[in-house]
Amino acid sequence: MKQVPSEYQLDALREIVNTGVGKAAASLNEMLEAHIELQVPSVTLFQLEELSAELRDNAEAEIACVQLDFHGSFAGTAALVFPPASAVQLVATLTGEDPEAPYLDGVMAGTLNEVGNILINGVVGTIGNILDRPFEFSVPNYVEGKLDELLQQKNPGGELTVLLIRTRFRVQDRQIEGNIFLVFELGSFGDFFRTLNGL
Amino acid sequence: MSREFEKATERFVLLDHAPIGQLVLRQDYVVLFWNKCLEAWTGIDRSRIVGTDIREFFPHLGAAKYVDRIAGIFAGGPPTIFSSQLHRYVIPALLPGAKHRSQYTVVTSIPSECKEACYALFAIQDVTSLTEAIENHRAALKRAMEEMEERKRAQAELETFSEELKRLNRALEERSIRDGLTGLYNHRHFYEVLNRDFQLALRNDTDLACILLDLDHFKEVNDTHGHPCGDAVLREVAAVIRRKVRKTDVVARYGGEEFALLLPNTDLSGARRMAENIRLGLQQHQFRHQGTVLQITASVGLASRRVHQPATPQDLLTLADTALYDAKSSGRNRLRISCAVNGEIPFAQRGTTG
Amino acid sequence: MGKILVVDDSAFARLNICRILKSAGHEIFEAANGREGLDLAMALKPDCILSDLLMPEMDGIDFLAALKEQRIVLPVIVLTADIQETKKRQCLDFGAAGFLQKPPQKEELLAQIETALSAGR
Repeated sequence: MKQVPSEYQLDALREIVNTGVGKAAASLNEMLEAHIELQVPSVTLFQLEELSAELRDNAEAEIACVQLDFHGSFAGTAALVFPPASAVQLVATLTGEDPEAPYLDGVMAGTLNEVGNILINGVVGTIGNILDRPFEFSVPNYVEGKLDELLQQKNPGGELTVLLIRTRFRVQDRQIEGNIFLVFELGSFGDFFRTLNGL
Repeated sequence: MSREFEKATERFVLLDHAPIGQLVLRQDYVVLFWNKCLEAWTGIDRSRIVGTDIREFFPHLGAAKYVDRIAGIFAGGPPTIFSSQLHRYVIPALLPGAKHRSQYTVVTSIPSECKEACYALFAIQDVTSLTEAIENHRAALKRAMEEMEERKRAQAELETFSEELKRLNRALEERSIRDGLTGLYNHRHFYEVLNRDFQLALRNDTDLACILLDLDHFKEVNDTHGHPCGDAVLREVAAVIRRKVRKTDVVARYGGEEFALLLPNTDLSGARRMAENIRLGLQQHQFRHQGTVLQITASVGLASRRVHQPATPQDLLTLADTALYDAKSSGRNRLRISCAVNGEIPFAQRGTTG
Repeated sequence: MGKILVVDDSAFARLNICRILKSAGHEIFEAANGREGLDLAMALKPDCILSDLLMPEMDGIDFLAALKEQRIVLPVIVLTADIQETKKRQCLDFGAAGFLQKPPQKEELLAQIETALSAGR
């Protein structure tokens, strides 16, 4: 069942995402010495099957991913995805380590988990905030793997709606790209919009 | 008030059994629960800290970077993480060596006694050994890089010295084996080369030719035009000869106006061609000095190891010298080849022209 | 009870803000970007302006600058998602009366409006 969001709904989504990402940026800047500048994210909606088409080669790519499950009046998973090269750059910049260092792997999981978590929380937290609904969350998880496998894992065979938020940020002259995928279980996305409409 | 703490203790006492530091905070930062692990890490008994604002014990938790994120937890938001890489620790805990434990902390929101706000549950993992392993690795890597740099530097220095030494040696050598005026090998060095090349030729049964060349009427050049002119002529002669010989040939200034050549791996006919080429070249060359043009000729003597069979290097030289004498006495400006047989000049040929 | 102009390119954002303000009895006018905001500010002479920063056509900073140029003196409260120190300082330099982070909490928003309105009276 394909949902076609209305202009109002898309506007609401964009506003929520902007606010969420903005909050995350403020949080990160408060915490880190390196100044992070988040650019206005772009927001797209599509069904999970369309994911491969949308991302083309990236769907097969190995990526670094921070995941967070949520459920309440609707359910889903938020996943923040970085191509490994971007992930390494980001961690190196934030920790002051050398990007070529072989021991960086040990450092990456922890740092990415925290930073990714702040970004996701910005968006997911704002959704909960604006919709004024209680949610329960899983403990955030850091994994590496193929994108389509990671997303499918959450709901094998299910029909899923994906909210793709493309974020780009600058840290000390480095341009880093990350994508936040919000995957909603079937029916959930309808609930999300119904709640939105009810505001 | 204390009823709330009792209830909290009851509720959370299970957390005492986990090997993780765990504490529960109320929205106003008052500690509701402090587990045994944290007691052990900090030495702070739970009876002291429960019911108190945690910032009285740990003021750093009042910083904006903690407060803002934990505020989200009290509001029922998603869990937040404080990694050891970006924060080192949340609750300072010293290890025996006076180092801080590295901590990985997850803060989650849990339902509370009141509807408006949640409690914040801190789960603090000690990741010191992992952090240490990484730091050790980093230190080792740094040391290795430094050692490599040091080695490279020492190597470079050594190479510079070595180069310098070689250069000096070469210069020294050059000075001791060369003739100052012409730049050709000097007399002594010629002997050394003669000995060496003769033994080599003997061992490998290859041919070796020796040419002795003496400038004709040279004393007159000095007397008539002066020594500077004579010197210039000598230098020019050296240049002419050098242009004609091959890389493997050895050219030396043997005496005042005498030149010696060694032609390794050259048979008699080849040596004869070379000697004649030089003689003719000198004859035809225009020697100029300060406006004066001079004609210079030379007498040349030639001997070959294979053909004339000298027994020793000195003998080869002597045979060439005898041939030179022959050239001089039979009119100068000509080439004479030794007529020795088995290293001996036939008695009949001695002193005769030919 | 004041006349408040809300400037934000997101209809959704305006909706939320207006709901809060209306509940306190204020009169609301809306503009979708800085240019519209400028026109309405000159025409309606509101008591206070609430403005977003990131908008097409004319963003928040340019809007503040334009107000100054036109010598329209009234309190402007900036409401934005990304509150960086540099942006904050820039807004205050351009004469903003207040600075709030989105999404606005009802109490804080109403309190800042009150302060702005009483300063004007």
